[in-house]
Amino acid sequence: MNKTVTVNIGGMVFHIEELAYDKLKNYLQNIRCHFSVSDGRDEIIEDIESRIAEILLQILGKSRQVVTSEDVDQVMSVMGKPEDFSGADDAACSTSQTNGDATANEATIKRRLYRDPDERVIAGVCSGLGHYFGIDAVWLRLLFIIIFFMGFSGLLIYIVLAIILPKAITPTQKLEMRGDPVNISTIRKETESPAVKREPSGISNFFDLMLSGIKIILKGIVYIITAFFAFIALIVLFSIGMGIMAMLGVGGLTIPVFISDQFLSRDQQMWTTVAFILLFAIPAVWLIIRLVKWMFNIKYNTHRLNVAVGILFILGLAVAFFNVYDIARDFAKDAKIRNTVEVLNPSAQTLSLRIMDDPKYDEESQSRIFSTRGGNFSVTTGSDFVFNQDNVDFKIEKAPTDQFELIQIFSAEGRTEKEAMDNAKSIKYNFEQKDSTLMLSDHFPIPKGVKFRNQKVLLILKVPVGKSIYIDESMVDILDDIDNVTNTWDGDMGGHTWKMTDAGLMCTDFDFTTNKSNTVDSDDVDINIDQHGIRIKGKDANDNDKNVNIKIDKSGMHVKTEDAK
Amino acid sequence: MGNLENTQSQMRKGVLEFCILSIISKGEVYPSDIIDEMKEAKLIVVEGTLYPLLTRLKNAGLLSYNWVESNAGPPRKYYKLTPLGQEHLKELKKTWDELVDAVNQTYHNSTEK
Repeated sequence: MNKTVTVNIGGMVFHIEELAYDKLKNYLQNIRCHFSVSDGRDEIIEDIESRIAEILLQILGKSRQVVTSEDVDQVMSVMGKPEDFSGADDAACSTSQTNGDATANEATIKRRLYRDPDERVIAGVCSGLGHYFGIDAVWLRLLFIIIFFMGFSGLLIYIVLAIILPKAITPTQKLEMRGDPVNISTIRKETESPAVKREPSGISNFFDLMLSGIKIILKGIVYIITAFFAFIALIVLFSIGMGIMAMLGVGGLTIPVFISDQFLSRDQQMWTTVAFILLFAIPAVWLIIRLVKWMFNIKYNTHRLNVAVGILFILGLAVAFFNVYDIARDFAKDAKIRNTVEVLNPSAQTLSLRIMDDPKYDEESQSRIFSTRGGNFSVTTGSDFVFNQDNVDFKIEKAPTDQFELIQIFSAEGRTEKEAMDNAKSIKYNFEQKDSTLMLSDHFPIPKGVKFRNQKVLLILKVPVGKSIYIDESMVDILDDIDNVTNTWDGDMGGHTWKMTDAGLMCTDFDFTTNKSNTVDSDDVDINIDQHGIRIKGKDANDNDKNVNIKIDKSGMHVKTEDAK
Repeated sequence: MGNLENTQSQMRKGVLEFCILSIISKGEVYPSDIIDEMKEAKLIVVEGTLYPLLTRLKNAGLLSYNWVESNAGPPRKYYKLTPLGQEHLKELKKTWDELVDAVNQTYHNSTEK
């Protein structure tokens, strides 16, 4: 497929391919410059054009519409080269260039800004500008020297121009630089008798070296940045690919499939995949195409591609939005199941509370794929995947009777209330009483086939007044804001025995009211808070050999520095 | 070799005008017809050569032309000799005959020796 242009040759309309057009135009231009006005140039050209039209019509016949490059070649072989024409010689060509007739052509030819390597003093910027504006380069050099002395910016302007302006190297570029028409004969002339070169000065050689050095460094930086982004894009693409593969359940990556099965329905998984492809994979590929295009300076029109990628991205947003909405609806309703289990009164005075050992869970806690601390869920790997929900909370309340009681409240969410109820019912929470020890579990499995719908277990232990409980250190993680008379943090309650009094829980083996409990000890800082005030003792941040004592009390704040030894 | 080719082309160029005028003298002709005939006689290889020549002869007043509509392209120029052209052709014919005689004479004399 080639672009065509419509031309008028000898009063006839022709569709001609662009390449063929350039060839024919050059050919006619070439003929034109072989004759002068006095030769009757216009008439000769007219006659020749008429004949060309006739030949072309003959070549095309009825079946073809477009003149190709080969057709023009054929015309040229029939008509012959201008050099073979009699009545004029090459001298006529060069004279027609310099006399007034040529100026009409020149007006339509675009001048281009280049650096002129033939007439340079430093980098040829001034002579290039001179050609462009039609001013003698000397004046521009003078101007630049003045700017140089007015400030450093002059030099900067020069360097910037030297970097961004291309050097006129080929004859075509040199002709464009001077605003001469570019055709076969002028190019030939330029090649055969190039402009006289000015001997490059020492400065210009040095400047050339410096310029190419700067260019190489800039190019290097650009390449490094590009490579970096390409690398990131590749990683993103790779991980997206892995994710998609995993979602589709390709090759061994079944763990995430299991995870997604626990969260999403098949349809939701599919739409999530679609959204991922539209939102990430396609833009990533597009980004790589852009980068490659930019790195290797490939020029082709990607407008349609850009539009397509944009539309797909918006489509992806829509899919993602509706999918997220659909997923959110699965969590719309919630349900609670409450049941009460009697806890046998222990033979001993104190009921011990501890977390049950789950060798599998503990052993594999190292290999949890993900877990949120103090919170929601974890997945253990191994021969059998267990999706564990860690959302277990434990509260202690005063019992109305003299009987220990454990209340289990299972809650879950779902699309409908019935679904939420079913999800709550599916919870199988495990606990065990061995005489005076109550062993609780800090997690519960969500069986395969049941979706994660924010299942929670809330345990409330009712402790009769006068009875004691021992809270093992292992319990600390599931304690949920347990009221006690000393307002002790849950984190500090472990490892102590607490007695239920009328006022609430009270620690019996440790006095949380003493200041000791409030001492923070770290390697460098001691903070002590008591009824007298706050004392902070720590190392001087600026001088390791000094200690700083800060005391804040009723009388104000005191700062004292002392030697560490 | 280059020298020979140069001489040959000079000789052809010299007689080109004479030949064209004599072809046109037969009646109104179209450049293409002239070319066909000239190509046959190996006087012209490429068509482009003809147009500058015709224009020069026309500008010298030796030729005139009529526009004739063509159904195979743009209108064509049909050339014919002006009285001045006929006169010119006569002169050329005379010169040509003399030249042929001169060439024959010098050439034969030189080969007889």
